Amino acid sequence: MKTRYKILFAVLVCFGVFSISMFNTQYFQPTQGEVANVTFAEDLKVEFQDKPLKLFQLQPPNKEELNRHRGLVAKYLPNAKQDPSIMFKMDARSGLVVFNRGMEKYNGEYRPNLPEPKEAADIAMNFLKESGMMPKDEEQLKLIHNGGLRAAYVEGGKRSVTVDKLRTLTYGRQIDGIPVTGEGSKIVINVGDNGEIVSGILKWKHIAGEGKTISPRELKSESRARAEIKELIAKEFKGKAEIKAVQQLYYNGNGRFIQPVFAFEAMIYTEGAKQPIPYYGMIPAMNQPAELVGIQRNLSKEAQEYIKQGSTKQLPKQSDNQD
Amino acid sequence: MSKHFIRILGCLLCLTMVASSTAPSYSGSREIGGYVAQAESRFQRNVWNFIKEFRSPQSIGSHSWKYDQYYWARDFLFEGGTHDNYVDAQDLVFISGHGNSYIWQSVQSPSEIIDFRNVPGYGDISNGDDLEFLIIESCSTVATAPEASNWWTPWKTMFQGMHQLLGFRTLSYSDNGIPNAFAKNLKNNQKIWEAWFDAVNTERTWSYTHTESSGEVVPYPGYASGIMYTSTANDRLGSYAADPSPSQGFWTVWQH
Repeated sequence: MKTRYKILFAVLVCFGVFSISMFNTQYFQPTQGEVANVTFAEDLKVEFQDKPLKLFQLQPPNKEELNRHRGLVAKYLPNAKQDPSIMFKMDARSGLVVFNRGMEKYNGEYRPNLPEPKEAADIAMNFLKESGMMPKDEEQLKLIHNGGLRAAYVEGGKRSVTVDKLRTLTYGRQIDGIPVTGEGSKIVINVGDNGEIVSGILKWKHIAGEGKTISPRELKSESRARAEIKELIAKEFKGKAEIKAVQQLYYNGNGRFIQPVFAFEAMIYTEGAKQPIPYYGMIPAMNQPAELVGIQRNLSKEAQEYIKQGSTKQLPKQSDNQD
Repeated sequence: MSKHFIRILGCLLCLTMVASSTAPSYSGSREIGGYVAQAESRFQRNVWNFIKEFRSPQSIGSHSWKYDQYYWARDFLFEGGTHDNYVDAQDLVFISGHGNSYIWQSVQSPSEIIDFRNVPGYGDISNGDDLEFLIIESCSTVATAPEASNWWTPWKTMFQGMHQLLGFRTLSYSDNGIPNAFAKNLKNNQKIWEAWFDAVNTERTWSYTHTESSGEVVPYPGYASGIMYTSTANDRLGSYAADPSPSQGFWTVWQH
């Protein structure tokens, strides 16, 4: 009997050790800060919109509509073997179209003849109109950034030579003059040599109907918004934080709605850090938001279960030494 | 031994086998690592949203890619004698956290900083390791030509067979769809730096609250940047160039 239980005990101990090692997943837990350490800048005024805010339901373009855009790249696709940049991609669910007519000639030291930024903006706008990429709600389209792509190479191991490769026009959305923040609602056009259209991104869902006007009772009060912003920052950071700006905006985070949010910018002062960290975030402006925004979107259970803690113990090299 | 005892022993063995089968097992011909800064929660979302696209082996061109490591970041993953068990044991590594020019914060409190100017050489050339592609989703880490006239010099130590470094040269906003879109672009066998720049263009979050010292309201720009060799600029996950010799010329690309 005694031997039997000794074996059983030994097996149990081994199983316990093995289980702990297999489920050795998550040691680090973010340390929460205190709400009292989060303050608003003395002169901060929450910037409210003076127009009635609305909740908009979005309608992804149908497949036929998206398929029409294949024509943007059709004549270039046969060259895709020679130029791997050439591609067309669409996703009906998110309303996304991405195309590239070829970047091969822009590699290396090649110096294209680019239009001036203002001219590039005109070229891009004409292209949107002529290609059928212009959204139905054209008045909501707003040029947010007129920039570009630059490259540099090292000449003789000493001197850097910079080349302007593309002009990039990025359009966002404004509704009744209110900007839409978030990662949705965007068009990007790259203009290249002699004004040719090189590539583009269309991520734009149309608004279904007129939108539902949100009553003041459905919106968070300023005091509630301030309290929630402080709680959100304290949940994420242990240090001190000062909120510099709060503004009511619309938000489209690749979801099914455009809804109002309070967007904020804060400076975070963490322990031992030499410089403060600028932090941009948002909370829904509605008491019952249509969908979660930004950081409130959940982390999957798997992301939390599978993460491990490394060990300072040196192990035999695991390199498979593949190029 | 009694039947009863053998049954108990059998149950325990079964439990052990179940435990081992539910634990993740990651091996593949090309390996992907994801390291999360020990800071706010969005960094875990960023890394997970990238590596989850490689949970099962993904055949891309002539290679199969799968995630192999998913760790809370610490300095020893990148430095010292242990780096070749972590960052340099993977073919592609995606990390997310706070950063500044050339540096990245692996732990927020107490602060632990990786300075990529001083890390051991990554890649095959100096010590026969693995790393080919490093992607840093952070603010400002991948400083390049607009930030320094000799932009290649700070990165020379690190590039020892490594093919490409990608990230941002300015403030950037994360917790959006950039990692997911980047992973999908890579799976479509897009050129690696173009996959990154396209993902940033597609998923970038514009904000309207940031006021520069000049008084101008500027959306957080989140301008992408990349450092590579001329010979590795066309690399894709499906096929990529042989390891470059350190004497080859550097090439950089950035948004402005």
